[in-house]
Amino acid sequence: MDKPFPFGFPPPTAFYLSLYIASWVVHVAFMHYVLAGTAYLVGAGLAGFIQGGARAESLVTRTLRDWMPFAVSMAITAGVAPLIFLQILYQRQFYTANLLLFDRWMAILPALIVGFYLTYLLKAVRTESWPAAARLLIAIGAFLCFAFTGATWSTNHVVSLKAGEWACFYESGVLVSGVPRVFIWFASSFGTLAWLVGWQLFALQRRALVVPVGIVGRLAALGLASVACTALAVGMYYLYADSRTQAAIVGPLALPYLLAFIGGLLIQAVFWLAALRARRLGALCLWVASAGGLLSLLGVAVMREAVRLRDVDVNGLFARHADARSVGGLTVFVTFAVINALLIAWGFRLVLRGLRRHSLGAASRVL
Amino acid sequence: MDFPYYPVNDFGPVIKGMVIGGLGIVHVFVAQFAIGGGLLMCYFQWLAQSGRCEPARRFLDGYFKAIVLISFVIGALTGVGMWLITIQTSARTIGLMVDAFHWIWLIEWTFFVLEIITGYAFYRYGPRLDDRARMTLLVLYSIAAWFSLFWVNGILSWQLTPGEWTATKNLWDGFFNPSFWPSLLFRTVTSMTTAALAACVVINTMTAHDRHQRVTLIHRASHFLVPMAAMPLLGIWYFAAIPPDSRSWALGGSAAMTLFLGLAIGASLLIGLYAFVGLLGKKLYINAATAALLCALALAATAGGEFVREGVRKPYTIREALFSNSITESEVAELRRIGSVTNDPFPIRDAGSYRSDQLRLGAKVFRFQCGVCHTINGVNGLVHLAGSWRTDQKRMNIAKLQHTKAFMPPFAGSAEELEALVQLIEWETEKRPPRWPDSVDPGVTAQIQQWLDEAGTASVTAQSRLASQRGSD
Repeated sequence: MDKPFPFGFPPPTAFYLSLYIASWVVHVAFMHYVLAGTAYLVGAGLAGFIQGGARAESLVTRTLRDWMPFAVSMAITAGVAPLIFLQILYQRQFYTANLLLFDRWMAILPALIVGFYLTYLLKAVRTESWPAAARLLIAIGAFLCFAFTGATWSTNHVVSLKAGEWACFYESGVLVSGVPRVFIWFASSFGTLAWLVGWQLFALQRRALVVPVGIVGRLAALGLASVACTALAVGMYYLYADSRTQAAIVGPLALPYLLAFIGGLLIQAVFWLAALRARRLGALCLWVASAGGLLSLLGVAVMREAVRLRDVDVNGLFARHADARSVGGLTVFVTFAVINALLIAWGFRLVLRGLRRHSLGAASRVL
Repeated sequence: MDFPYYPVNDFGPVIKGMVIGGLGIVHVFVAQFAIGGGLLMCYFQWLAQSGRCEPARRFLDGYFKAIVLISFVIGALTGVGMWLITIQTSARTIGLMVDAFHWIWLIEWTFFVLEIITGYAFYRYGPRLDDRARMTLLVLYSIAAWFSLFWVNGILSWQLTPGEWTATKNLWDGFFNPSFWPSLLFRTVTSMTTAALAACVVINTMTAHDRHQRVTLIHRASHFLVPMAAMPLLGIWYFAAIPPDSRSWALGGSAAMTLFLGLAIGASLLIGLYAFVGLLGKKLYINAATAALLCALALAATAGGEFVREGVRKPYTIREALFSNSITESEVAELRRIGSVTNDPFPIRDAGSYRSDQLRLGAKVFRFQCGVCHTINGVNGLVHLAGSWRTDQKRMNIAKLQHTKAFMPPFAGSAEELEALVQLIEWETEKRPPRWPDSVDPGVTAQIQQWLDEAGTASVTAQSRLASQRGSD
């Protein structure tokens, strides 16, 4: 643990840790879209409610409502891979935390099901004519379901680190709280949402739809506020953490990633300021902002892992990881991963072509 | 020995198997709907684009909406739920399944991603695409959904028939195990049946179709019930592939399992008769209520089949690798020597309610060795099962547990722990009297130890296998 991640670990451990981090970052990007997106819809619903439903729906709100069920589906689907790697890496810790959280942990299933259906309800054409209060309640319900799920995952993570207190947790039924960490996730989720929605609006822009300057400004404000709040939340977390946690974050394992995290935040801030000045969303800027966003996610992911690796008996896990690595199937996995990625790309191409043909057909019918 | 102790949760009067079974049945049924639904939609798309069935296209978009709203939400989340509830029930079982097959799970995941993305692409853009693109997306979706079954089936069937894997630990020996193919084909036919019956429900809910169109669509959908004719043969093939002792539980050895098998066969038979005589033979119209009733029968058949599949694995969760109570055969002797809960770090939650240390020890032994399948007073409660036995009868029957009931694992604790468990059962049977003297007779302990030694540490399954190996040698 005296070398930058993932060096300094035996190859099997480094291999699974890297895959875990990579898959986890993808999952978190979708998760951020869902969490911040439903929070945004609550805000939009509240504004609509205050103005007596007279307020016209913004492009961002419409886009979020339209894509939210798919984003939830992708967040859940993308969560499967890190869930598997997590069980290879920290099986005992993860399972024990699951068992200690018991009913609260199992409650994330009905919460996700309810939240998922509420996003479909938000998208449904029929609900557009419902009173603003009803739509606000749906948005609040969806947000609470996903926020509860996120907070429970966070608590699960914290409990998994406290091996010395497991017996005490079990006997008393009182667990540590993961809430302080949730603020970091919540704050950073708006930054991710801003650049992901930025891409969606950029796609609309390319299809000749004019994105109002006010919308660009709103996204920029969201992105900049997120950068500031994330920096503040991480700073507070660091200041209030014990010295061992602080040492893990600024130690050789995580230091480059702390710098990556800070760099990622700065890149996002610069991009959003540039977008504000240009009053439009450019592809290059969006690429840069996405890179910054992913960099900060990667940074925070490795810092989180450094704190965990400090708390678990990592040497005891090396043999487990080596055993797991000796199991066959990796080549077949890579083969199917490539094939399925190509099939997905083919499917995209097919849809894009089909839509182009459809819009040409519609245009010729109009002419 | 570094035994992985986990905190055990109390499910009240319900056994954990009921919770995992209930969720599992819903998940399997919804997953079958998605898998068979994919194939059915390809068929209907072909009917639509070849001009063979004019209302097929409109039906297709409505049916796919049902798949997205049910399967993509309930199916996906009950799938995750199965994972989480398995951790609650037997963390070690799911741990071994991950350790041995994580690349298979991940391969399945890549197909799941393909399924979700192509599915949403069709859901969102299907009505605006031409026939070729629609068919391509549906074929991709169907391939992905069916391959999800393919990969998961290998792991689930491995639990009952690990085959050569037990000796070689080779991934593919375990995956392509003896019951892999019959199980896969049987589940494929079941999926087609579920999809056809669900289609009959959906057709009846679509107001855009007139009666004639509905009749046409129902008759087309009922073609997917034809493969049911192969079910008896596939069922026989499956039963021939599973171990003889497992087969014997379902075929009369265990009343509950035989009844559930009867439920699965009876419900399937009723659906089959209706399908072949009514739908395919007389081309009857089927209304929403009848279609829903047939779906309920299919759910009952699924429930019966899944119960039998889970039940016949006893006393294992992974045959010859892990007992139902998450203890391996090789650990039994050591746990008998040192005591099964001596190193269990998790205390009893309501320790004060037990009258003595011996009863507390008994409660801990119950939690560790019995709690996964039994309760004290509720479902499958020890008080109901063993409360009426005489004290010595309890001692001997538990010491020789695998011989008392061949689907039980061997007792994996010390003689003192066994006596503590016996005292706990008696105390609970007597409705927890305030005074309960400790049972500390050395003669009793010696007798229990003798019975434990006579029983051995292997399950009856393993003992039979060893005996037959010696015979063949």
